[in-house]
Amino acid sequence: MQQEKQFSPEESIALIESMIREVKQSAVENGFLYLLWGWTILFCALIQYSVLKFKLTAIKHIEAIWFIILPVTIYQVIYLIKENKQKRVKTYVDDMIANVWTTFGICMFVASFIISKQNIWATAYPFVLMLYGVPTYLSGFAMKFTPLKIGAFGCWILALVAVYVEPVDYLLIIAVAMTIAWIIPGYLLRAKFKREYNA
Amino acid sequence: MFKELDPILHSQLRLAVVSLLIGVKEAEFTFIREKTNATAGNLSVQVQKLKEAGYIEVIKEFKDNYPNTTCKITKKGIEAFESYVKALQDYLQVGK
Repeated sequence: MQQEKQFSPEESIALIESMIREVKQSAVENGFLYLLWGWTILFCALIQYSVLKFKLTAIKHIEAIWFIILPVTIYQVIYLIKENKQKRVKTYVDDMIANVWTTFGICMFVASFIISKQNIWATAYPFVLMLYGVPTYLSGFAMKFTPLKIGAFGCWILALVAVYVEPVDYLLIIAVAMTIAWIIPGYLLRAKFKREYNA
Repeated sequence: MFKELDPILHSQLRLAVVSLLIGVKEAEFTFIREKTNATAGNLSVQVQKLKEAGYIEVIKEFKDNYPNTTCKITKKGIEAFESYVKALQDYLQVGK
């Protein structure tokens, strides 16, 4: 067994601080899921918008584009299972964020069901945007990552704006919301992750 | 009078392990080894001591057919760490 050398209280504090810093660096999110979902929804919204706005009547049932969400969800589940297996450290913050997004996923599923059954898309648009802001803000708070918090406020402001636009233009608002709430923070998280990883 | 520093924690590697675990839910042995730059043998010995003191919980299981050890701080470990930090603060305040 190794000889344990004596060390001072100052050295103890320095050691504790350095270990806490190490954990903080390992806990940085890579932003992948924000980018995956941000781009997926932006893509669907813009395609549907283009078809409706430019009256491309040859394309029927363009709303079916949103079914892309199903394979993306399956891909996400596989990605998360794989990532969880590789993860060598688990934090309470990770758990909390994962639960926040699961709650959001369930709420979105329930909301989509109610909205499509009752055919109240136009009325529901601003509420959906409002809902986007909730997990985004909480994740930003838990990770102490301001761009996500700003993105969440963006969603809430756009939810108010959505009341004043035509239903078709709402799709453009969704695209803007995705850009500020998930895509930009996603790239910033990725850059941060790369910086910490290479440090 | 100063409170005596907990001898279990007042050892570089054991303190490093507990400081890593204090901020997480659980961490694998390989992660702790990488972050503390310790050898596997030495780390095993110190982890065992922390386990015997009841400061950490050690879970041994199989991951992809390989044995995998995970460590987790216990309530007793958190309390010991808090008292240790408090004792350090007392030392440092008097030193000023």
